[in-house]
Amino acid sequence: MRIFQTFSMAMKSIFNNKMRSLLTMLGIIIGVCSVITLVSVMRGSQAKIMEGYAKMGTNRISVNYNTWDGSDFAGDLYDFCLGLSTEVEGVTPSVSQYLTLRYKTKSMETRVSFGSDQFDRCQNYELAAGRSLCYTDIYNRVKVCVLGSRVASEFFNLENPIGKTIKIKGDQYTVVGIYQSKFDNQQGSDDDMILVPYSRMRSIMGTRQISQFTVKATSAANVNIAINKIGNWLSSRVKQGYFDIYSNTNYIEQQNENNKMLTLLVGGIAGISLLVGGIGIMNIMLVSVAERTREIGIRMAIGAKRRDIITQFLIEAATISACGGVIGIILGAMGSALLSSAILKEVFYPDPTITIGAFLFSVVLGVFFGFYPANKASKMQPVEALRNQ
Amino acid sequence: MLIDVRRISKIYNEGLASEVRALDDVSLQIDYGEFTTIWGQSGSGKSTLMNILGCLDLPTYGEYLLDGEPVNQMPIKKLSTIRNHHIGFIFQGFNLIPSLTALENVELPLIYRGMPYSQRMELCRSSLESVGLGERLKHRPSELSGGQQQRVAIARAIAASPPIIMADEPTGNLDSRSGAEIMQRLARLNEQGSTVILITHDLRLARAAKRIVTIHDGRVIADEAVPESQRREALTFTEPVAASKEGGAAD
Repeated sequence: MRIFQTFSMAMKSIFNNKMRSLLTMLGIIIGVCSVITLVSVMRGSQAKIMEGYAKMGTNRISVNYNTWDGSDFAGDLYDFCLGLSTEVEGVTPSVSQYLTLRYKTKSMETRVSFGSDQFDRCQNYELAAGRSLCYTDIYNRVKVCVLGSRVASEFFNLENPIGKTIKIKGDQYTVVGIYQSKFDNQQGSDDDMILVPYSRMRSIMGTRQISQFTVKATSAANVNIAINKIGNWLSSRVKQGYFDIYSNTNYIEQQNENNKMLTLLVGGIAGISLLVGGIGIMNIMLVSVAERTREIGIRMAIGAKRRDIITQFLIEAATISACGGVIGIILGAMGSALLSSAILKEVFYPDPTITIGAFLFSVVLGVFFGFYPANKASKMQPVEALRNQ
Repeated sequence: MLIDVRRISKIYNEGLASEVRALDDVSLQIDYGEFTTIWGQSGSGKSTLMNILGCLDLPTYGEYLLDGEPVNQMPIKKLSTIRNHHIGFIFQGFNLIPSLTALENVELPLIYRGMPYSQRMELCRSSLESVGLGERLKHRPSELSGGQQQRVAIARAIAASPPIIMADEPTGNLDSRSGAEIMQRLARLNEQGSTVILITHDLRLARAAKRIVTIHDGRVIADEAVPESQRREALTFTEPVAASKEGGAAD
């Protein structure tokens, strides 16, 4: 009850001095607003990058090797990887080359990927229509293909592509399936491709050497185990040449770590303006205490204890900074929506943790910086305070 | 003995050239239920004495027993509690808080006492009604006349029926009609059992009490009872004169 009374008195004194209260709050408003805007835009961009990685496929390991003595153990490697059944979910060759495709009178340049029946799983593709490659296609070197959504939309506007034939290097390939779009049909993205059985490599590229594989691990924890096992196998087989294994999981983790650091840094810099705002509150509370010396004297004369005076001024300070915090949060939400839609082409709002955190921090700030003035007020001598006009 | 002051002094800047002896070796006893005036010219030390009696200030030397308890040795918190529970102050300058309404001003000491809302409201209303301000609960001090403000201050002082009421020049800023009203009110409170201590420089007002302690240059120079005839005269004298002067229709 007493707290509520003090709170309503604090609100009254804030509204009685609108301009002054607003100026006092300004530091907190700017601080909270910038912390919230910057942190949520950073989080948004991070989420966007992560989403991109997720679309390209998580737990993905790229393996490539090259030998100078001409030895080719692609088949063995393929079998070895598939044999790691606890760590590996799927394996596909992932050799690709840019080639010109033709359909009727149209032509376009796109990436031709040579893959296995596990290509979809490894590279995170979903079918929109038709079917994907199957083992028979590969075994029999059937001239079939699966279209990325960009190719499908470029060649087949209103027609059903399935069953139509596309010309690659003079051969006719029958379309058996179409993938769903992952990146809005952007040029050069995962949508800008066509998949053919890897057994067609020889007739298209003139080589059957498969030097690149994509391996899909069963979980993030198994990525590094699989990398080690495959690396050991390769180092025992590659006598003259080199091999390279990497996973974007490690890269994503690194990226995450960097992003956290950057968020902290940006948040810290914005936090400095909160600090300045806190000092502003201390300043105005000192003025308020000086102005209301007589009132403090009256309160003491009629029986206010030191604790009552401290509580009163602390609540006032906390109320001012909490009001500033709330305004800052509203502006920050608007700011992050505007900024993220401008920079990231997608609207991100601040997440609840940061919002609640910023609010609590501003209240704590008010209490912290309000303590000195409040304590000063409570130490006044009633007689001297009453003498003040 | 309610108030027992033994050889107290209040000295400012002691030992310096600017030394001021506001009170010099004052002894004074006031019993329960008395109506005492402390009378003296301005600068005589009467306000200093009131501050000490009201536990707002401590003496430099000497001993002050309030209801048998030594005030000098009390912690600050205890002094606040005494002011809150045992003493009702009526100040010369009203000393109301300008941002609070009449009701909130009267309520404030009761809030500090930790009294529950419903009880507080009841006491505040009856107290303000008893001083004739039942209709002006929501007015701020700036919206009230001087007499009304002083009556709010009285309502604040008596709301919790404290055993001691201290009034420092309670009629100082008022016209004589309002002043007379307030004196009668103090006399009535005394009849109801409160110990009333009046501080004034006005001998005519001083005679409204049962006893006058005269203070001069920080020393008590006289302590005498007021004859009942003089007292009745002081209490009745003021009003008719004031009423005829003001035309009877103040407020």
